Amino acid sequence: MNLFTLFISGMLINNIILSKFIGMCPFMGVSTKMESAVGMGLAVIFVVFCASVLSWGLYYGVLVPLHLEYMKLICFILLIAAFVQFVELFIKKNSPSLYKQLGIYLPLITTNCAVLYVALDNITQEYNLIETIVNSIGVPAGFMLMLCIFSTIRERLRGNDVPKAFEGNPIAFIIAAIMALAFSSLSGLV
Amino acid sequence: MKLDHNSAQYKALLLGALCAVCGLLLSVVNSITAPIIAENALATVKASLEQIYPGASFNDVTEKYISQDETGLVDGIYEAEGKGYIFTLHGVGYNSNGFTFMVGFDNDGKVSGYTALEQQETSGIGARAFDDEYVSTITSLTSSDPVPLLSGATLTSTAVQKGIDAAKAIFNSVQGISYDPNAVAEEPEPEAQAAIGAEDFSKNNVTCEEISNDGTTAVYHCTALGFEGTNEADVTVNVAEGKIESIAVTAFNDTTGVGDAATSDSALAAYQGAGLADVIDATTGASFTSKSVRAMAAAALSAATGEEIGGGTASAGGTGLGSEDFSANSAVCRVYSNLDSAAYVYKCSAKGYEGTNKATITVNKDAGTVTSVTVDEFNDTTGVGDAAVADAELARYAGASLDSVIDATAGATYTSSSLRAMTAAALSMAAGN
Amino acid sequence: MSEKKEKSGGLLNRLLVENPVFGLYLGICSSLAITTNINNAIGMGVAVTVVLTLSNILVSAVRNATPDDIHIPVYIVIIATLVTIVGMLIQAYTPSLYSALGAFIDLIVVNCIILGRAEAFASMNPIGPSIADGLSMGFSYTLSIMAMSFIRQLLGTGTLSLSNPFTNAEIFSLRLIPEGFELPFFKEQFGAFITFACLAAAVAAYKNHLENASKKKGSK
Repeated sequence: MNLFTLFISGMLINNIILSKFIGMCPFMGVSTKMESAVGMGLAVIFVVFCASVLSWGLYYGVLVPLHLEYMKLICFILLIAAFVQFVELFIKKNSPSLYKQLGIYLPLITTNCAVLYVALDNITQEYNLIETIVNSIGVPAGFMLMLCIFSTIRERLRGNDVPKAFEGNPIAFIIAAIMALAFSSLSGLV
Repeated sequence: MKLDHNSAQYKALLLGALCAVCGLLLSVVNSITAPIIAENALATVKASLEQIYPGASFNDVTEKYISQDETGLVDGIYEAEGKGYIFTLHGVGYNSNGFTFMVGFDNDGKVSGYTALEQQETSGIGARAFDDEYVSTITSLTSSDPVPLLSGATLTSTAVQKGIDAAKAIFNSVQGISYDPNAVAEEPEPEAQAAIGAEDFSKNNVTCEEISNDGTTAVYHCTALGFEGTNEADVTVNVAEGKIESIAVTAFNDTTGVGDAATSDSALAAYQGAGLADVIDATTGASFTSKSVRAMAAAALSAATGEEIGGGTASAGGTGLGSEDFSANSAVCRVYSNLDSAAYVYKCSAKGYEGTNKATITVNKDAGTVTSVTVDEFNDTTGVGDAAVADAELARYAGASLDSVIDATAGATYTSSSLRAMTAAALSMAAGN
Repeated sequence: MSEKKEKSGGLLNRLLVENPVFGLYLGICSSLAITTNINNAIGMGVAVTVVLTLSNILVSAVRNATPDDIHIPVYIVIIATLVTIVGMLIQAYTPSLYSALGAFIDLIVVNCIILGRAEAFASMNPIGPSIADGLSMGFSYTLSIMAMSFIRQLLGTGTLSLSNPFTNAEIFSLRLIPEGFELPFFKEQFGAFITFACLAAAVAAYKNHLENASKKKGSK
């Protein structure tokens, strides 16, 4: 597959939030402010990219030769957890200012299904290393894009007169529904 | 000895033990479920495998033998217990989407079956590689025989041949059968070909135009349909002897790398000195192009000598619109407006290459001629067929009557044929028949 | 009489106010993605309930032997193992369900409900209550996604149907909306979000109602 097509389809057409419903928890939790949306988005791009490439290497370098393909889930999630922990320690030690910005998002990422999903998806789609790299940047970039768009809408929403039952998350889902409708029209792009 | 719960050793030990227990548990469950999962996967392909070995029990041995495949054409390998092996393969013929097929070998090496799984090759051309005739050719072979090509479907049958060769290589090494992998199939017995004066060139739409004629030597510029386009050639004829002196191809519009075998200097040399009574063999692997060259040669000879040839009028010009055979296009027209007899408007549709094209055709009923043709819907291959719907091409239809000859657009024969079919249908409706 | 009423109110409370999906917004991903028909919802619900209950049992069993700073990796290994096993069993015995649920079986690992219950409940309670907690949480998760899929399947296809996941044989199929009047977008992403929003709003409305009632009671 054309690498550019892969990138665009990962980012926009098959956007993980709107078309695959993955990464909903941080999407709902962190998307209230633009600032935190950008922080979370960057952290996710970084972690997804590194964790996916590492998982890809682990799968084809260790698990396949040993015929332990069925251990992939357990290995990937441990790898992700360990990687996030490591990054947290590293940033904390070397760049306290960056830690201040990103630090609070890192622990949340372990349980962000987007990271595990991209790592597993690269294997199921049988992507090679280059495709894995492109996909692992495109997909979280789409996540960040969504997070940013969403946070600006929610900032505007604050102080608006929303029916009481819909306050908070329900209205956010309505917005997500409308955005999904808009994004579904992108499917003809590629 | 009791380990402190917070010591590093204890933590490492705990995690290690946990991972070991989990790994063990997983491998146990995996060993139970893996065969069932494999069986489920097999069930989906089983239906097609049963076409070759009905009722056999199959094992998926792809993993075991696929590493022996050097071509990358083998998709799957299945063992029919006690009977033989089936290989699923893919190849690319004329349709760039490719096709998949399977071939089976009995344990003693006989080909037990050969059938397409999915193919969209051109019907009547590439698709013939999956027709009964070629299937019976293949199934009469053994795993040591070379696979013959199918003339007229060379591209597709070459892909089939490569696939079967790959399957043979694996099968023979598994079964320990020694064979000569480089053996070449005998040329398929060429169809007893008629002399070019008697061949049927009706599908080639051949036309010839006299360029010069000094009584002894005449030069004709001829055109004829090849595989996908119209080829052109200048044919020099010795009028007195009724023999060809030389033939030079001036425009080649068939598949490069395939059809051009028929236009090579050595292939063209075969025409020197040939008369209408001579047989000129088709160029293997380029049958369609070769036939178009023969058609042009025959037409030029016929024009020079006045003798008739099979199909296609030899005189300058081709078949008039009213007498062309458009049965394959299923052209339909309906009256859109018939208020002004000088401008009847018809909405027509006709099959092109892969889709149905639609056009609006305005006809001057009184004169029986076309005023204009505009294409409303174009459903053939963009970049190929659309050559025929270009404004300049459509302009050629203006003024045409049922007797006019409208040349096919080179390289867009199918689409062009659909347009001519619609024009002919509109004209004949206007004429009241 | 009054005691009985309170009990049923308690059950309703557990199902609605403490609803993991619509009340606490846990496990949203799967509840949006796989609720296109009731079959998938039941399959997913059962899988999650099984994993949740077993993980609660195991986490509760090792809770005293696990030092605080490595409890997350331990829980993750336990959950991932259980999910892999459940996934293998589903793939082996109900292949149609496996292909319908796809990647979301593996993603049960990061379903917030499971790790959440392990942390918040099982790591502090003995095995007995942990089982009860796992079952009740799994049950209300299953009910929630069944409600989602009921609405989406009914409005999206006009038909309610259920089939045996082991044999693929249809158990029943009932057309409630005549052909041509169904709303296909309920099968799409848009319908998933809208359905979720409305159900979540309904739960929120019920919560508000309870709060108001208790306020009134307090002021009296």
